[in-house]
Amino acid sequence: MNKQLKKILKKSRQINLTRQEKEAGKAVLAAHMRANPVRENTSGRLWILQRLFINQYLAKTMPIAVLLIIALSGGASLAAQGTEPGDALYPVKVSVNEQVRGWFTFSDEAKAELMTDLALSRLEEAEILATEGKLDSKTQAKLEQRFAQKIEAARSAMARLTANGKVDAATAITANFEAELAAHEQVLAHLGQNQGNHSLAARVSNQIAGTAALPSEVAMDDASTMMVEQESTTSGVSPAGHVISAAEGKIKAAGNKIEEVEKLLDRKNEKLSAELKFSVENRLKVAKELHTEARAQFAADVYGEAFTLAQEAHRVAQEAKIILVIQNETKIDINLPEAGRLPDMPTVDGRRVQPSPPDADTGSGVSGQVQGAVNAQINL
Amino acid sequence: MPGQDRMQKLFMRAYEQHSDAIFRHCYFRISDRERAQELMQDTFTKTWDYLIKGNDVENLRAFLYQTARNLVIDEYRRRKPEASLEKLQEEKGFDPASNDHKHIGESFDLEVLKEALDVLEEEYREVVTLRYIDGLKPRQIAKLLDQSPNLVSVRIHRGIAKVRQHLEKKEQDPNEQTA
Repeated sequence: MNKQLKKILKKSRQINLTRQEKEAGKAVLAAHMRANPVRENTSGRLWILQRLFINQYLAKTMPIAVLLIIALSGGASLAAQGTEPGDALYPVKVSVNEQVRGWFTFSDEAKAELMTDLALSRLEEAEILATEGKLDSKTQAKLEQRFAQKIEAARSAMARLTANGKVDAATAITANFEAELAAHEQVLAHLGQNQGNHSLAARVSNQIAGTAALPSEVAMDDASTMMVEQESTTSGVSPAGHVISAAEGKIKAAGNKIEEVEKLLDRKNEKLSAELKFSVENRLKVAKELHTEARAQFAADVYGEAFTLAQEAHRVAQEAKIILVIQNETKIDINLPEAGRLPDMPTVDGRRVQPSPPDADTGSGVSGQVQGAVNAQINL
Repeated sequence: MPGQDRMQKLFMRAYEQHSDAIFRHCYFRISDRERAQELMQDTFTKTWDYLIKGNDVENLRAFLYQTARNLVIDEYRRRKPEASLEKLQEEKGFDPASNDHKHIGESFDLEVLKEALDVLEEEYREVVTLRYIDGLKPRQIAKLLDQSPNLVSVRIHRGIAKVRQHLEKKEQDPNEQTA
């Protein structure tokens, strides 16, 4: 672009309203807002809205440290986070609150984590609404769209991560996402069956199926490496460090998830029915057993199996968490089938389909297996 | 209700922050300062109406641009097909810089730019305005217009080339009338 054009374009940005025009506009807007008040009574929660708005507008002018304090102080995000589509505060949650989170997210790793997290939040919202019988087709379509958007954003961040050689980080995020995705699928499928609304799980799962390739692209690369290296292990050559770190990271993530759910259960314990408590405790028990086995396999240098077991532990613990979250939000118990161990996992052509290290005999990677699992569950 | 008052104040902050940009966008799209002001105002009232119903807005700035864009499109439809910059100038007197620009030189430059934008086909004018006047990135424009980033980039490139061409012609012959 030549200099003159640049200069003119720069000048064009100086076109502003005059002070009088702006003041007049504000008066008109104020009159309009008074004539058209907020329709839903958000009672005591309105103050949260204002703080969130303030956060948004201060963001451009305030130092990050100060903004961070504002964003993290008090229960603003908590209350807005608890909203679902249809609530007065839901637009705030997705338009302001989640954006504020995005402002503090700089690295591709953090971005990918945040985006997968937000994608899963949409599934959680779908589950809560479905449990309450409020998931209409319009809301469902919106949630699907938002889910896809977050996945797309995560995909970009993941691509940058792998391009920058951070395969370990990408694999860890992938594995965590897949474990939690699998748990959500189980819940959605169950909710769909219970309510005769098979399309619920099918449609959301279809979305998942369409996007599951995201993390799996990375996982597949990693899985292929693991496969080769597992073979190397059997021939007496040490596996590469990143295989060990993948298994180690997965064990740690599963441990953290179990701990998180235990704390949640502890907090909600008194409010739960005996059946629900049993269901959650049983899942936690299974998850812990799997986790212990995973650590044992890791200690025995069987890293692939350790990874698989830890991934399962993560999934089962996540199921327990979802049950608790739904109960907390809706006061309705959902009775999922008992927690499945490895032999009960969905199979495709008689083969295990949960995220796992690749089978050396077929050369298939995590990606195909996960995709298979998703597709298998869609057919309710 | 005190909550309502506070919400109004907060939305007013949004107005403070984005009204100039939305006004500028409308202004460079429809070549009419007064009408651009009205469209900007409508953009905010419609957004308020949308928000208070508990509707979903993922990104406030993008939503405002989207609303403004729809209003501009409606404006085009409402206008007679023969409406053009020249006619507007005849009817209203074209005053791109209004009284908030101090130098005659600036005013002239902006007039030339407006003229260049005005001869652009709408598909180019929109993306050039969004890119160079509003400062949006191509991927943000693509999202806003629901078009592929590639298509948007191509249009920006072609559009700005046309603007440059116009400016060069103008430089060579300042009195030349644009078709």
